[in-house]
Amino acid sequence: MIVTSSDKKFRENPFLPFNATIIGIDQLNPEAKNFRLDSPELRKMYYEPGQFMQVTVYGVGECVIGITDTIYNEGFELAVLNTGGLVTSYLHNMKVGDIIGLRGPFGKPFPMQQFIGKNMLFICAGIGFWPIRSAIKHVLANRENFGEMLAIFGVRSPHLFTFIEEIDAWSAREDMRIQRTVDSCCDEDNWTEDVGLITTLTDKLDIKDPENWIVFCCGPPIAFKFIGKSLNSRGFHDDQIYVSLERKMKCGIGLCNQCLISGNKHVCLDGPTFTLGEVKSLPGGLD
Amino acid sequence: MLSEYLIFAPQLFKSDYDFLPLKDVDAISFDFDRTRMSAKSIFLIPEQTMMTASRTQGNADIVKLDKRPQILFGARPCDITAINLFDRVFLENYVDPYYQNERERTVIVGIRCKEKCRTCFCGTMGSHDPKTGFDLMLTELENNDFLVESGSSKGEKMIRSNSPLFGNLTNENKQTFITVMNQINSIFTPDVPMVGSRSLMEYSWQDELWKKYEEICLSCGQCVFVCPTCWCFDVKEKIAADDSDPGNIDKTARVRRWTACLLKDFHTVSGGHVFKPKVADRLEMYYNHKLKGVSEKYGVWGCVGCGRCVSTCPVGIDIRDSLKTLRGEEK
Repeated sequence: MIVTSSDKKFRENPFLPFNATIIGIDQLNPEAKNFRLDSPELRKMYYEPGQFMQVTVYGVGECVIGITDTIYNEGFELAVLNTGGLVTSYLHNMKVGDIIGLRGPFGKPFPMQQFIGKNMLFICAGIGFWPIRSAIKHVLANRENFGEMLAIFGVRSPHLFTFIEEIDAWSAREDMRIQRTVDSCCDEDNWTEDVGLITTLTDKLDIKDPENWIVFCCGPPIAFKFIGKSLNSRGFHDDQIYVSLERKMKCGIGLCNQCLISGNKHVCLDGPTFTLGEVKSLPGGLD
Repeated sequence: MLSEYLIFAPQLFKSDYDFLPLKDVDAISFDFDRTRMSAKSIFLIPEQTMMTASRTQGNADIVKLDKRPQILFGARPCDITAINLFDRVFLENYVDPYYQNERERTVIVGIRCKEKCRTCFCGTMGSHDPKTGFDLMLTELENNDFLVESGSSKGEKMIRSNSPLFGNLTNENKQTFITVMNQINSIFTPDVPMVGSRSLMEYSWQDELWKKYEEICLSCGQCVFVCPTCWCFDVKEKIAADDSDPGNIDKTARVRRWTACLLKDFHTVSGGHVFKPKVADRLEMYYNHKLKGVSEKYGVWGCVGCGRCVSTCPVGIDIRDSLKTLRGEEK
């Protein structure tokens, strides 16, 4: 695990959260909000793309939220979807100035150093964009270390895109390509880009040298299956494809076993970032 | 002793034996049978308050842990083997302060089994002879004569400070001890060969073995709660007004509770997705963790062969039969 600011305290009792104040809330789409947070611990905290935090709403509960942010940006933000669960729905009712608890960061980050010199392909299905966003921002902050960049986004309908200004800014860059698709749309949406599942875009990828690419993929488990199949048919190997899994977690340190897959892999310690090859070899990994 | 320590000892409660707080020394049962629940509830408290905090201000604070010394008397070798595993789980990588506290304040007095109990298969799991994990270990020689070994400095200190209770080891005692040990050796032999079971588990994914359980397992989780080596827990937050200030709803507490991987709730995430909707898959995960995951991470089986799950299962699922089926033997 990466050493955190509150390391000594964390070692003494890994179950105690530290306080963080909500300093800003942005509505990302009708279902999701972005919380900007601040606290002395957060300012000292070091985290890497792919890691996650345990978020506590005091008296309500604790849940796992992936980090969408990098250390290259000022401040710390968490994008939270209102899933209807206790914690997320309560979080969505909170206001600027309210206090929440945080523990972390936990989990194995994407091994970004290993990808230096490679071309990067990001496949973001739905809110799977958020964990990948931290990797995209990492690559953009160290742009000279990486080759070509292509990001593919897919959501159910146009109004569900998140961080729209950011994606627009990226598509204006010359060193990065963006492709977007929606599952369905109506005339009022004025949608001019692709329509269809995200695999319609991956099926027609014009990549001649798949061996020089690294793929990041995140989305609902069902998407992994189909995107994986589609990528395999374009010449990508399972071990080039990095995914981020989601499970229920209660401790973050491999004790509670809530995130156990196939009896021997803890998503919180051995993941949440895996290669697709690893996940496929784990029975129940793609559940 | 009774005034100095809180003592947990096996006592008859209704129709079963359990580790209960001791009030009267005569109530201790030296009967060879194991208890209904394992000794894990003494170390991994079924409902442990971990911290308190203010609902609006946060400021999480650890609860004051009870440091009073206590004794676990009459732990069986299977219980002690399970505690050895828990020590590795809760103290090796990240130290769990709640487990550590219970472990440090408890003196474990073990007692060797000289006979097999009703569902015992600890010979199979190799848990009849723990080398660590106890502070004192009793072996009954004959006529209520016990040989006492110390397993830690805590145990040595107890022997030294209570020296009038102990006599010296005679040559005759030693001979009897050897006889008893040989007897134990000959009784606790493996019923099922276990070599390669971890690999077999790996290759038995989605086998017929699990499908047959789909129809009978009620997914009640009793086997998990009685199991000495199951430690899965759930963490919940709650409003915790204390007695002195009942109107105060600002005080919250974080509570850790036992849970079971056989319950559907265990695999349900917010939004309603269930990762393992099938009972057979959940039972398979239970076995997978015990035989594959635990042995991979901690180098020992996640089963100590006490058979508590066998006697508690309402539909009669028997882990010994599962092990046999796993190895291709028809039951």
